[in-house]
Amino acid sequence: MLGPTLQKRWDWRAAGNFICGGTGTGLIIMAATLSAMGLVTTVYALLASAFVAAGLGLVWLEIGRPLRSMNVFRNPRTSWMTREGMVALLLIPMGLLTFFVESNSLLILTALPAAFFLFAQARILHMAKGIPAWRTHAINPMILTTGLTEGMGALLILTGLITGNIEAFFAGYGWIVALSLVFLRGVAWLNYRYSLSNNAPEETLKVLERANIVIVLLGFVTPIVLLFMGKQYAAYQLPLAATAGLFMTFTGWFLKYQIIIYAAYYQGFAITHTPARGAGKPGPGLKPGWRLPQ
Amino acid sequence: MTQESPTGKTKIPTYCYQCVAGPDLLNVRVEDGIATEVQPNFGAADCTPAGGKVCVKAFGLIQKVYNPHRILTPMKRTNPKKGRDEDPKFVPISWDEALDTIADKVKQIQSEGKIDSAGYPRVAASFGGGGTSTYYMGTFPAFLSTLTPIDMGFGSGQGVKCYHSEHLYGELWHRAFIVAPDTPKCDYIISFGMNIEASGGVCGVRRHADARDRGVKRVQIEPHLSQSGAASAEWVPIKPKTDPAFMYALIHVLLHEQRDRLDKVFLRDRTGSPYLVAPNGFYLRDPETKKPLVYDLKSKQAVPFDTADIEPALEGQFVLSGIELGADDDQWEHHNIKVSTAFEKLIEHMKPFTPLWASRVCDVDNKVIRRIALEYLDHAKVGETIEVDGRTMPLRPVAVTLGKTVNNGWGGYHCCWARTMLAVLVGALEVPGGTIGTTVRINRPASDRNDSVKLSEDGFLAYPMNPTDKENWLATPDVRNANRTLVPLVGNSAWSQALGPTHLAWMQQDKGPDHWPQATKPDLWFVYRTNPAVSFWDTEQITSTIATFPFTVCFAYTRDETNHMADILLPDRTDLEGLQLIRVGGTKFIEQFWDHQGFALRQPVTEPQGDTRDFTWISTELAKRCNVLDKYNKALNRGAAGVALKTDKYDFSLDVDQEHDVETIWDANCKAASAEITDGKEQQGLDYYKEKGYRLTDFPRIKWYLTAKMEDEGVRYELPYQETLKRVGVQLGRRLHEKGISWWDEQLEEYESLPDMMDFQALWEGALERNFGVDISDYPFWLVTSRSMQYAWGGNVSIQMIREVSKNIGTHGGLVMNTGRAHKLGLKDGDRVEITSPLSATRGILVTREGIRPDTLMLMGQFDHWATPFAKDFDVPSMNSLVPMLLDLTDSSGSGADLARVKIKKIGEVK
Amino acid sequence: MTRYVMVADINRCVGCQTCTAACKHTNATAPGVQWRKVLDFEVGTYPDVRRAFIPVGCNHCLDAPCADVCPTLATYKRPDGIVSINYDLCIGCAYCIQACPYQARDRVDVPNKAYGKEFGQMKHEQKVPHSERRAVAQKCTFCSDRVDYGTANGLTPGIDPDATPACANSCIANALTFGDIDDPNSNVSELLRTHEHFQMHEELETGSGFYYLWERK
Repeated sequence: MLGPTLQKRWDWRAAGNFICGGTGTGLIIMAATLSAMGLVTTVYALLASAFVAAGLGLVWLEIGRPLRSMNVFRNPRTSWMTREGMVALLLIPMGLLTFFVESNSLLILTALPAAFFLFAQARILHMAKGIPAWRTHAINPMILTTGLTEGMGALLILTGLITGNIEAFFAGYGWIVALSLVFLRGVAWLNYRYSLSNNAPEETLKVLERANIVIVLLGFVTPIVLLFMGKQYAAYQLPLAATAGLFMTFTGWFLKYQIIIYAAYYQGFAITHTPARGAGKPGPGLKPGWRLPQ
Repeated sequence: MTQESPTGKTKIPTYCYQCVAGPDLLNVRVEDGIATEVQPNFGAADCTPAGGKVCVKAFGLIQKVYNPHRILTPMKRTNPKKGRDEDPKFVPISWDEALDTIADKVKQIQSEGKIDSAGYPRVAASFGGGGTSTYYMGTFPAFLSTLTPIDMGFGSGQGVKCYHSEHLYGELWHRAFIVAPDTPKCDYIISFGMNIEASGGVCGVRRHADARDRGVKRVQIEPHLSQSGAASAEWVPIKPKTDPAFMYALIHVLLHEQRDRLDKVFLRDRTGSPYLVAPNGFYLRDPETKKPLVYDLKSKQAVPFDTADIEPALEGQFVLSGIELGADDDQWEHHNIKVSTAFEKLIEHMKPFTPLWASRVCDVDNKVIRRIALEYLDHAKVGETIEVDGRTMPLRPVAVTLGKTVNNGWGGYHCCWARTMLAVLVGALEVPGGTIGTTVRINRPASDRNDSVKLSEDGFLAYPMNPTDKENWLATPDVRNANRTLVPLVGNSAWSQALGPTHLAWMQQDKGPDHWPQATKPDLWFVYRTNPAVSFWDTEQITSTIATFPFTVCFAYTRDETNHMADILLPDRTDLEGLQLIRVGGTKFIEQFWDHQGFALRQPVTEPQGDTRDFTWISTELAKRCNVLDKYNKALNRGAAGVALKTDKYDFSLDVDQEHDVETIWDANCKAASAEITDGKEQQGLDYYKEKGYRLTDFPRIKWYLTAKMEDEGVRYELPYQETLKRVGVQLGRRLHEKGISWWDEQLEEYESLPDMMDFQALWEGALERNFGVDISDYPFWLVTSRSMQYAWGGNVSIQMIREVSKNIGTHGGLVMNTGRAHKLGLKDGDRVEITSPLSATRGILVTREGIRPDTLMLMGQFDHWATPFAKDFDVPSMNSLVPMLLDLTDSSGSGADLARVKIKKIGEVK
Repeated sequence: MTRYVMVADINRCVGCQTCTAACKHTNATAPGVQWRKVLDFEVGTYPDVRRAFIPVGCNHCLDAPCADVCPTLATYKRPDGIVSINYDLCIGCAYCIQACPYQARDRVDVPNKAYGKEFGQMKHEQKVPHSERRAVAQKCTFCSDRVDYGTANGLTPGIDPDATPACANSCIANALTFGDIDDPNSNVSELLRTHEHFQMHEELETGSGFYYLWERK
């Protein structure tokens, strides 16, 4: 009771928003990026918008007073949740429009609110001061890189939808971008864990420790190997890229689910001194559930 | 002033007296007739010692009213078979049927004879909560008084769970049924397991918090770190039941290392220290006056203790002549024999008990023991004075307090004696800052202990000992626990039966001892606010015994383990629904020291639930139906409801032939109460009390201390030497032996003039090995208990909110064990364990804590319910099922201690 | 300026939970929800062990993380330092619950039934249902209705019971003191001047309005 306890208030629905929102915005941004490299990608804007909308829908299911949900727009001044909601109002229609008008320019333009949305999601977690696993600065690059990686992954899974995209992906810089994202996410994960190493409840660290092997193997090593293989074996580019995409996306989802559902221990309680009782002497404090005293 | 206070428009004043640390005044906020909130009564902030506040237990009262598990109509049992596994099949009945059934039983008993073949009363009654049930039972005592004799000796924890030795010896030595520090002035308190923060109520908590703020040093000596240990300047983890050794070592240091610094004037003038002790252990007396002699240093001769203008010698041996009066008619004449002063005897007696010796017994560093003795002496400020109410009195800001298990059972006598001696040696008994008493329950009058100060022939406080001489000893017990027969100290007040030995009443139901009447069952047993099937020891045995009682009437709030065996359940109105006036203020239990005294009203704050009835209505109806209405009304007029309705100053007496309604009865009591405290000048009635809640007058602070009265009356404390007890013990032994009874011989050994040290741990171990044929080393842990602030006395186990908030205190969850020890045994916090004593086994969750000795386990409170709604789902064990009731573990005062030896076994993993 | 804060003297506190219970009464909080409670800390290893009782609840922070993150402005900082919730605006997103480093916030979606569904609501639970609080964020209000009443009627919060939070009023050890820290002559200012004190999680720079006194200076 004194030590950090696991948050139970945001469940799979909230995690779903970070998963869908990250993947959806990542998909838009990656689609825009790859469109600049000659891939035909406006079609993904529909899926991306659906992702973002689904994520917000899940949140709507979780809030206590869904009929008042419009109040979410009342605090753009300081709340990243308001900002996330506001930018979604721009992002989703623009995404839909991009799909229907098949405009690359619009797609690139849509990547801007998408990036902002993704950033807002990172900041939502960052501002949650009660949960050490979220409030670290390192959550920002973590959420950003994984969102982009998931988006890239989603695009790769569905890259077969458009003829010629896979060839363009491997012929140009697309696969380098994908490799870089996987790499950067790996670095962000390392950085995230490092930032918490002496700075989070023991239980949080245990969860992240357990998740580490999955994330490193499936989210880092495997996609890199698969992408290199794709570059090497032209005949199998499509399945290899899709499989790599699968690992990129699902590892991102796994990672966020771990951070939001399992590693999210509250700060807990702590005292810096025990009192002097009457004529007695004061004593040391205690921060239960933390490996090192802060 | 535009809006209504958010604290509510309607606030009804009442009191909380759920525990002996009360009463406390409070307000209940009421919205449209529904009680919604308990609040302090700040209107009474200046005239109550706790600032008009109430503790957490009072906040359970609202749920208590509306609890869906309440019994709301009278019920009768339809399954004639009784037992834990039998469904009583209670069915609702009308009040008429319930009351007529009881009245028929009463009338039958009255007509057949009130005493049964064994000489015991056929009606018995058990009330819980250290007497606090009286403050909720309206005029029921008046009804009971028409049925006397009644056996009140079936206890529910009295004697084994109270401060029993303190009650008896405290009253004997300084009119202190309860002993407390004069906390507001005290600077140094040695507390042997006294869990004042959990059991001291609002006054206790407040006074000690103020004292801590002032910088008091309290040293808490106990096997586990209780709430009070937490709030103390120092915690000394001592082996269970070795406190006497620690205290003896403290006395040793004072007597043998620091004698010059003691309060010799106090010892000489206010105690029996200078009395001369003759060779047979009784005082040397003047042959003519029979008065004890002292040696006068001025005239260089022995003179009666009360001779004017003398300077009695405190120490030394003298060759003198005189007579010695022993037990019964024993008398010795002495010529030129060597005699010592009582103080000299004490010095000699305490010589072996060095801190080094005690350190081995108690497992406490001898340097710590010596340091505490010296700190105590340093803080005593011997020689200093203070003015109280215009009178100069000694100021001795040091005190020693004793907790449960320390001050009952074997060793209780030693601890009480040593504690009182520690006060006496520095003159800190009954003086500002020192160790003082709060109330009397054996001596009379109960309303003011100062008035109970009477001079005995020997110059001490006279004490109403039960007679042990041949002519007057009560050879045949008149109640089943034989209190007056076996325990001279227990006296014969209204409280004496309940002071036990109450377990004797239960033990004998199974098999009585030799040469003793086989105890009969009461034909009619009334039970109110008590649950012996859970709160006594060997609960399985008690439960089966209760099941054999032929006709049990339980005033029932919810179903519980005792009323599971009842024949009739009567739902009375609870704390916030009933009407009653009680006496408050003065000095009462625990630390209730007031600067006021008077009366407070308990009144309905909300509509009563269901078909519950006011206790006074029930009592009047029973009186009417039993044809004792006139006697009942006369009892009321005499003051059975708390105030005499007629004195020479006023007359509010009730017509004895009439049936009076509840409000009329209490209106008369209110008027009489007002008249009593204003000397007949005022006579505010019920309406006034309903509005205001209380009526008080001043209580002079000088009355907190006996000193003024003792000095004025020239009375001495009978310390250190216990000549009276020694004589009583010899006489009692002779009486019992004359009847062929030898089973009380061990208890008789305790009647010592200076208590001899014993190995109390070995006493427990031996008794368990003998009675259960076990090897005690198979039971490696001492099991102790500890008070729960949220539950103690509250009868509130079925209140959800109390359960909820009590969980914030970590030790409520189950069996508390030292973390390191648990680790060594491969146990983890949260494991499910079985706890086995030589008597039986129980199960619960392991709670690991650092604040407990590795050889000790602790189970807080008294749970283990199996019938009480809500509580039966707690899954928290109680030590009560593990502790046997054994004669070997009963001391001479008839008390036992909450102590067991157990082993534990893991039976399940952390969930 | 005025800033109301709570001061807990942990030399005085004995963990009796009277404040916990009083708060539950005054605010009719749901079973299991305690806006004020007292924790039982054990520090050290046997035999060098200390036990301390620590009252906790909303810290009414100067830089309240809950107010910053609230998307609806339901949680807001009053000029007198009290962090309040406008229940009618709150959407129950629970973001503030995650933002609070003091675990001071709750959300309860069902009516109060202390004895469970089977037994329904007791009369007093029906009488003060606080349905406005259902499914939205809730926490200690410093009994702001009392503070407002007091200031409107010339009473001093922290001194006059009608203007003082229920926990401080009820505390039998007088361990909890409420008052205006911006007034150098107030009860709380005096206590902070004369005692060593700390705030919980000071490193998080919340500007907590809850002070713990641990030794007299």
